[in-house]
Amino acid sequence: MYLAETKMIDLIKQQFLYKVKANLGFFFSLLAVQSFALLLSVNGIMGMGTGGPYLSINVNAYSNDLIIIFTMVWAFTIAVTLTTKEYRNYDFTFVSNRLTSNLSNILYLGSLALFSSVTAVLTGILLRVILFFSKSDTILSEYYFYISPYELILSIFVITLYILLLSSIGYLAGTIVQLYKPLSVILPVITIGLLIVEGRRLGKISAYEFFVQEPSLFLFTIKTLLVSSILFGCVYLLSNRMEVRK
Amino acid sequence: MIECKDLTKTYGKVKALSNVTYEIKENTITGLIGRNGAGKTTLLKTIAGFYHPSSGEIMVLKENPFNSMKVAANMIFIDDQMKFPPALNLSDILSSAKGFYVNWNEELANRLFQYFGFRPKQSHQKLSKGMKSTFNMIIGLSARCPLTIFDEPTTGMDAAVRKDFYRALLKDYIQYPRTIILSSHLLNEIEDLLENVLLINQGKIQLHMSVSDLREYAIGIRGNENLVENQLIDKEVLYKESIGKDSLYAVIKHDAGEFSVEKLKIKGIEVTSVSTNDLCVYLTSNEKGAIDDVFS
Amino acid sequence: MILNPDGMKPIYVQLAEWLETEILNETFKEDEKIYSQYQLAEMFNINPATAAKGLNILADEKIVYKKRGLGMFVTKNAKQWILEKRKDQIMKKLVLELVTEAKRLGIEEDELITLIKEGIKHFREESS
Repeated sequence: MYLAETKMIDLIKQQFLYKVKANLGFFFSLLAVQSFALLLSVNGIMGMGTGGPYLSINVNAYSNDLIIIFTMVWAFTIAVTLTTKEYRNYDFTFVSNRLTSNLSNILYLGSLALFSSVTAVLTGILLRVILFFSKSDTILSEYYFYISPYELILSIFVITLYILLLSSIGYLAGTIVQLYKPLSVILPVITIGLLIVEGRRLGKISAYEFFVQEPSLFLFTIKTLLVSSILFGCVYLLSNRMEVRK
Repeated sequence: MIECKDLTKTYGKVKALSNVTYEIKENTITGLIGRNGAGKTTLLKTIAGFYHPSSGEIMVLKENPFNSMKVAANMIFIDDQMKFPPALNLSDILSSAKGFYVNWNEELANRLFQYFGFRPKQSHQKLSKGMKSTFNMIIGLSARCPLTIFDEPTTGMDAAVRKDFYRALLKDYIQYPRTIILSSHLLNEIEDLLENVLLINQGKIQLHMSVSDLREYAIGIRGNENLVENQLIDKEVLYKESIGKDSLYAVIKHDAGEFSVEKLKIKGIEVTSVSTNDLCVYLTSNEKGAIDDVFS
Repeated sequence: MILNPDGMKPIYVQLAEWLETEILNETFKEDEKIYSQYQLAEMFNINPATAAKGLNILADEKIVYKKRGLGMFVTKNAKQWILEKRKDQIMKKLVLELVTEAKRLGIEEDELITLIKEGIKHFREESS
């Protein structure tokens, strides 16, 4: 009888690969979500016009924001899905303990964040390409149209962090709901409430200011990573005594 | 391999397991027998580290199995609730299993896979109940984990497949010994396969002994009512049933040497052995009376 | 040979008896290696531990002996021994059955001995 001596790193890697293979469907949903967002973005987010008897001017603004937001929501949803009983139990069908299950999920969410960020940015470029060809009879402002490689990489980096943050929120939310089912109603209510507070800038501390308005890249990175880690850490603490395969 | 002391598991007011104490040695095949709801699955899932005890102690490979990586890597739990991600087909599942289990025997898996008529691109979700059990069994055997747990593995399997399963299990066990725990309702089918039997009743361990001892645990006596009743005085009676007008069948614990079978035969009492299956039914019967009472 | 699970005899006892018969038939000669518990387990579809119990019965009765790491071997004169043991056992069993039946029919001891003597006389007459 040969006793296996497994190292945690190996196990996490094994689980990670398993999740990638098992969840190829997620990529299709990402494709669908971003395509849909692209479609909506082609219409522009803002337009204004003015005109006189001899001249009329229409200004339309387009943005990649919608694609990014949709991607963030998608990541949130994926993260919540990973916390459901079904998905947790997939790990325990083979070899797992709660720590490796969580760590491999986090690793997976991290790589999804990176991947979806890249596709989001690329979709943004695709948007520009579509506009370039479809609106060839109009003037395109050069200022925001051409993006330098540096900006591309920066975008990918920042968006990855945002998506990771959203994933960690989703992961924690999903876990809390798994533990206390009634919260599945209460949490969305609280969230909407918080968003309203945000929107009206009622509170002293605003998440928008904390993250979005942070000028320093370094500080931003630290902030998002730290908050994500804390949230993931909470999940570990909460789920470490959970029973599985019931 | 497994040491259990005073293990208790409560769900609210219900005690699924109470003060369960036993030891399972390595490289044995143990049958976990009991009625539905007796606590078999709870016990097995606690051994596997899926549940944690309410009180008491459970040690697997000298460690607490809950969250133990060592136990998880050396253990596999097969039941009919095993779920796999829908995106994976059967052959994907097998190659995933290979990645997780150090002792995975690919040749055995493939051979069994072909023997039972599976196709690589089939989906696990679409299999019939019996086929699912068969496939899960293939994983369980091929993984060759030092601790292999089967929780009612033959659900939905027809008799021919069950026979094949027991034979495959025995052959692979002989070739590659490991600790196997098998829970089942069909004791009569698996008793030759087992070394030991662990009988659980209403959350408590009723018996833990070798199958050979279990077979000799009790004897059945049948004959004239009065004659038989005489024999029952100061013996442990496990079961009594009236037959016909004045015959009585009783099952008593066989304390060797106390009385001889010959003496009984002389008195005109018929002596028979008691099948392990029947014995377990008698030992775990509740006091609510017999099924016949429902119809009387 | 199919083991009879419903009989009064435990499976390992049946197994031991089957092995004895094999020795009687000279399937295994003196100092030859007998089946291992694993081979027996596979042949009869039983757990190796049960098969081992059967082998141990033979070892206890000195019909086979154990060679460390090599297995069980047939002892010298095992065949002879088994033959005598069986003779003895069969006789004893028959006698017990006779006595039991006699008791059941209410035949006294003296009457029984008379019957046996008559039987022997009858046998002698018939065979000459």
